[in-house]
Amino acid sequence: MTEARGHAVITGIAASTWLGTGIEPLFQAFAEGLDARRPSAKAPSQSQAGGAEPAPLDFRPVTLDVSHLLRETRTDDRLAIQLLAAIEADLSGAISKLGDAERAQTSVVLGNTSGCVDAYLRFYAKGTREGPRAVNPVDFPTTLPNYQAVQVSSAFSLAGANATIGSGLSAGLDAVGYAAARLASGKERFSLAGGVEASNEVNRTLLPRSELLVGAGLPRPLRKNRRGTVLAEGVGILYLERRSSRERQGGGLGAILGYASAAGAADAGSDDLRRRGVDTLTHALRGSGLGAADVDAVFPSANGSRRGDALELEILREVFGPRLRTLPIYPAKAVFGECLTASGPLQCIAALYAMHHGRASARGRSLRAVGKGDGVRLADRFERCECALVYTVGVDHTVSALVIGKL
Amino acid sequence: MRDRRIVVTGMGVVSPLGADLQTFHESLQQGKSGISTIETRFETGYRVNRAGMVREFDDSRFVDGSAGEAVGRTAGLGLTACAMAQRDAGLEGSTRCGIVVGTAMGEALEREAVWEERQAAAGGADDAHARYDTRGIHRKIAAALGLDGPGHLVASTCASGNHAIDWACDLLGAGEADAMLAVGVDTIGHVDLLGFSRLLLQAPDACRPFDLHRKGTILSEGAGALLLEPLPLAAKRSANILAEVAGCGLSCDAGGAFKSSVSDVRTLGLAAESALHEARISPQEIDFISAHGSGTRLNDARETQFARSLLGPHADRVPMSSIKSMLGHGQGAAAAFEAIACVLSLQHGVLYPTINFETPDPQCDMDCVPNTAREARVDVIMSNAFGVGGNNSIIVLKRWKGA
Repeated sequence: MTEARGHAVITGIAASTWLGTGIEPLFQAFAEGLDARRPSAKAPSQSQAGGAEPAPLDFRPVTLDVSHLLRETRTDDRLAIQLLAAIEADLSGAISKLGDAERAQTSVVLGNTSGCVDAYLRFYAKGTREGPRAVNPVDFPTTLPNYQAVQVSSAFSLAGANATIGSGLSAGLDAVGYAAARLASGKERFSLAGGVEASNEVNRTLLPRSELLVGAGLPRPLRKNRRGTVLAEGVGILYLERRSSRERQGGGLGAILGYASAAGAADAGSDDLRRRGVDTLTHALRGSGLGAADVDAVFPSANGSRRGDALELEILREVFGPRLRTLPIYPAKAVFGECLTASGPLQCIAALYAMHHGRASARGRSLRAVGKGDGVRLADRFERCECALVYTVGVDHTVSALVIGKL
Repeated sequence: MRDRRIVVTGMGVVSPLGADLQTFHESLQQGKSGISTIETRFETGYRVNRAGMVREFDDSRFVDGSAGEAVGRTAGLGLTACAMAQRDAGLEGSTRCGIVVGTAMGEALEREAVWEERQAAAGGADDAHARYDTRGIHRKIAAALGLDGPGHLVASTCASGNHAIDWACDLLGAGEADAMLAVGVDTIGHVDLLGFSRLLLQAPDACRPFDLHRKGTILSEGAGALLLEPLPLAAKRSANILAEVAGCGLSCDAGGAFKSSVSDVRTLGLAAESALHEARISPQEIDFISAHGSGTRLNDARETQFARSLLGPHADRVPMSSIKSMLGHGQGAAAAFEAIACVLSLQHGVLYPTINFETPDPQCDMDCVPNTAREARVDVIMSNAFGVGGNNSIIVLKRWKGA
């Protein structure tokens, strides 16, 4: 996607994770290091759709304090509340400076695959079991996949394109890539883009069967002793601006240099997934006008699963070759867990943290590696970097990659 | 602004008015209705038991039957329309072909079925067979047709079909693919019927866009697919070019679901402005509007207000009709149906009617081509799609006159 090269600038970020609402708790956790010990959380309440008892999960719900938003938005949709809380905490100041004309040119693009499921099934169960008159018509919009994105547009009066990307578990990065492309083509001037994920019937049902989840403890991505991952809720949002309009003011956190994605068939073999992973990462780099040698930090999708991480290592070895042994790899899911569609944008936020808050490069001296990386250099603390490769390999075999350059 | 012009070289449709383009065109031209009393799975307690169902869906005519069975009805409809479009374009098995699917509800029908299976299995029975399929409509179609280009899915409610066209055009303009399938697809689940029924948005008998006594819309299902190519590549292989997608525009009402008013057309104007700017035309060059025309009291009045606001005095010369009067509201498929109908209008020199029109409404005072199709050669059509929640999408299609 060469047209997006450097044309979209990241000027703000917003997040909610199990660590808390807003960027600060996440940044504090990053500062403590990828290997800091953190308490486990309990599984969330069960589905209200009357479904069968799912297998227990080590799920980390988002900590919310949004009573005022409940009054203002009159929604009790968990995803929408998480989103609004994160944006209010981190971006409301920036958004408040937008005039009417600028809000008309601000899009909202969210990656989310099954977020409406619980609301949908509650509505369905009530209507089919108790009769149509039992359902509250006001609840119908919450069953639509675009509900959360529309809530954001409504809360902040943003009249640009409003899109919910349901391309799979890499949809969060796809949302950022799509939003950046629209900015580059001049269709909008600003964008709130990212991903949001919460516990729902689909991921509670499917993922325990996938043998991806660790029974207890913490995920240890890319470590030799990894045993699985921890599912988590999360929100990751990037506030983007078209570069040509930003240049007058200067500043910004980073630039989207390149993006690529590959959907592929879910039941294709691992060889196909490896090839698509290599192609996607390479294509994103090529689109940014860079090569593997220009990347000085990687923020992988690795979540601690034995097979998934092993496959990623194969992809990384093919893309980076021998350089992989010294290239810093930051598996940020060790901090925020597997947030599915929110993971990609949260990995981007980790990259931006490293760019602006990382320690001076360890070049010339060895940085203490924590644990035994499985053939890669796993650093505990973030080092400053200039060019980050962020990618997601979803458990559904979708792959997306983004190249971010420091401004 | 895209650097490359994008053209339509193939189409496929599976609808309540036929599962091939010729039948679709003839049914629309004859003013037929695809609405009927729906089957018993939606039997009791609903205000309305009428919908537009696809009755001629037999995917084995177009693709391998086993693939059709494995993908579910929603993806199966989309798959059939896509295969038809590829065949129409002469691009079966082509490389660097991708897909963007637009859908309002996704695989909701299949989700309901899995949930019912899980309820039946609860209490000790082995429910390993009951699982939610997360492959995604676009990926199922891509796998069945061997598509190796980009694959995405966008959910913008009733604006999804145009949104898919817009995104597909963007990907082609960026050189990410040599051809793209833009698909709109939806089926009708219980939640659809429950929601529209409880919100009093459904008409009891027929959809009567722009009529004074209109009482709402009628839901329908189906899929429409357009195969899009950059003009240079289409010309290079001497493709039969059906029309040009000249411009696309998106916006959001930003006021929350169901909070728009008749007079508040500013955000609709934003989408139109983007589409017309990309098409490099002025509003006065629009010859015909394919309306969203859902038959609800608010939409039809607001859409008329918007059209008059956009076109000025020129509005008196521009017909604006709604094929939802015949097809029902296909949700994610609706805009795709309408885009295909627009291309057929350009090709055949006919404007499809708004049927069920009996009493004019002073608030909807444009020429809606009432009840009877009209021969008319038009060059530029604007097609509107306005979704629940305020997603707006507008595309501009031009008659292909040569490069």
